[in-house]
Amino acid sequence: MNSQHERWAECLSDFLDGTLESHEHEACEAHLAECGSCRRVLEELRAVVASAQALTDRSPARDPAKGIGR
Amino acid sequence: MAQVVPAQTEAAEVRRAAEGDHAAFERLYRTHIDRIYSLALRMTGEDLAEDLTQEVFIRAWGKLGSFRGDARFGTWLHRLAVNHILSRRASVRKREARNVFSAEVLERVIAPRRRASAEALDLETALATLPARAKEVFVLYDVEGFGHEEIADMTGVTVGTSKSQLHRARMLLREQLT
Repeated sequence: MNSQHERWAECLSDFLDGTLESHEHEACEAHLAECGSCRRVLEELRAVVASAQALTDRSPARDPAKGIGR
Repeated sequence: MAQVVPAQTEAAEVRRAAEGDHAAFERLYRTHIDRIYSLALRMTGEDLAEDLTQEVFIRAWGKLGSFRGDARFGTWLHRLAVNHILSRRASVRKREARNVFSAEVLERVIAPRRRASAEALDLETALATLPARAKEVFVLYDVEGFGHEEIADMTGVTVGTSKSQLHRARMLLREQLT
């Protein structure tokens, strides 16, 4: 595992979120083209984000309303 | 499930509630409770979520007079909830420290099930096992849609720390979910 790989592996969330500078984004993209391991991690991170965005609201088991506004 | 209430209707409800109309406040409460409870649940866990939800609505009731209507009531309430939950972090962390044992027990229960079954762990369950700071940033960014600058501002960390905690959270969740 070389230092370039480690560097880009740490930037995969930023790459996914589009928060890298454009030259870094391009360099990360070039690394991803060559690195199957990072491509797999990127897809798994994408799935985590999609799961988070798909979460729905939950209701409390008991109603905490008592004592509010009274 | 939160109801969709037209902005004008809701603004009128807020005005009535601010004038002391308990029924109007209860309708606002019913509309927004699930969103606020879910936020508290994901940021702190089941032990505290109901208490924090109650505290948020008590604070909201007390501060209704300061709601100027520049934003939707839900947006104002949500921001108030985030700030309140973050302000209670110290007590939340103390509670979490006491719950380390139960987290270990949970892991012992979950791990064999994970090995025995190809089914991925549920995101909500996995979220509960994250370190506090990573969980906070993950919930605020990926679930609630705040940006890193807002999160840095709310939590008192740098943008770089917010980004690194988000990546840490996602990597830990990825390990648990795949």
